[in-house]
Amino acid sequence: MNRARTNEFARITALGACLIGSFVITAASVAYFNGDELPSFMVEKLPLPHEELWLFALRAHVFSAALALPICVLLMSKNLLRRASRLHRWMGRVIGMVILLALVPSGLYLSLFAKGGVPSTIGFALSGAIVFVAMVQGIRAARRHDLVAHRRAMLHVLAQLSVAVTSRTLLVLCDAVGVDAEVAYLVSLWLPVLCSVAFVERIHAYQRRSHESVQLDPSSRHTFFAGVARD
Amino acid sequence: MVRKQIAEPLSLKERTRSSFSRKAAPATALRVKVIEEPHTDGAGNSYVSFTVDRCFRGLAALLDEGHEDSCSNVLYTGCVYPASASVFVSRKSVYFPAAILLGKKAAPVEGVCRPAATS
Repeated sequence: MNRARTNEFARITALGACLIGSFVITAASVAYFNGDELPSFMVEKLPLPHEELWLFALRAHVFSAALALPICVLLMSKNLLRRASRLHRWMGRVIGMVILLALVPSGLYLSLFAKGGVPSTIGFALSGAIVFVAMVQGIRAARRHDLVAHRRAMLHVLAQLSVAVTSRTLLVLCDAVGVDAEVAYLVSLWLPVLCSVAFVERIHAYQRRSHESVQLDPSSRHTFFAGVARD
Repeated sequence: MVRKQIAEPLSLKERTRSSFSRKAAPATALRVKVIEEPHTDGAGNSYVSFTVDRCFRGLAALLDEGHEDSCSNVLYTGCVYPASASVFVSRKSVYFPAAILLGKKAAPVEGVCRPAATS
């Protein structure tokens, strides 16, 4: 298996894992919309200063996240971009608004009551800030047809959205090996947030090198994420 | 009383909960422990404080069948009034009827679970 195929396999596996994780989280979150019942996640936070506002923010966050992660995964599809670029643009516009107007603001509010205190609040807020800034930059880059900058920003958005999946996976692993719950919670939050930033920057650096080598050598067959930019 | 009102229904609820969550992994068992001698609150009612410990099967227990589950994590603290069979749980020093743990909405209750001198 050559390197391009390995990379493509890794890309599809990672995106598939995000999709599956997103569906599992959404399925487990349906109970939050049962108006008669107090969600057990909310019981952990009691007493809350504004219970109704907190519950509204939780529902807005869960609903927007249930849309945002799968759609962002779909928007990474090279096939969709090649065959239905208008659909890609419209889905991008809609999900951009959902993320900027619902997902990030509700997440920031919920972060004020996060388990683990100030370090958790900062971790969630940092992740939200990265999503917000990257989304704004991504939209601006798309409007000026700078596809390399657009892809880099959108990868940051997707990587931070995927923290929902990677952090829960880490939590399950930490719990299995008996790591203290408070420590596990912080490690499972901060590690995916920071690693996601580092991972995207590494991909971006790799793409730039690939792109430059393509420009220098037209016969080059590098196809890792650079494929979309060359289209 | 606490076992019937909290531990047993909560154990059932925990078993059906997804472990892929930001909450701690579902407990394998819940253990109720009385932590103090009976006290009397400001209204003259006698109560007993308790903790509900979360038992879970860590890696050591998974690898070694003879290894017992760890039950060291205090999941909830609260108090029970034996005369009225009322159970309350504490969230950040505020006491709620134990029914909130099972998803029932309830307001905090003032003056319960505190010794007469401090209530």
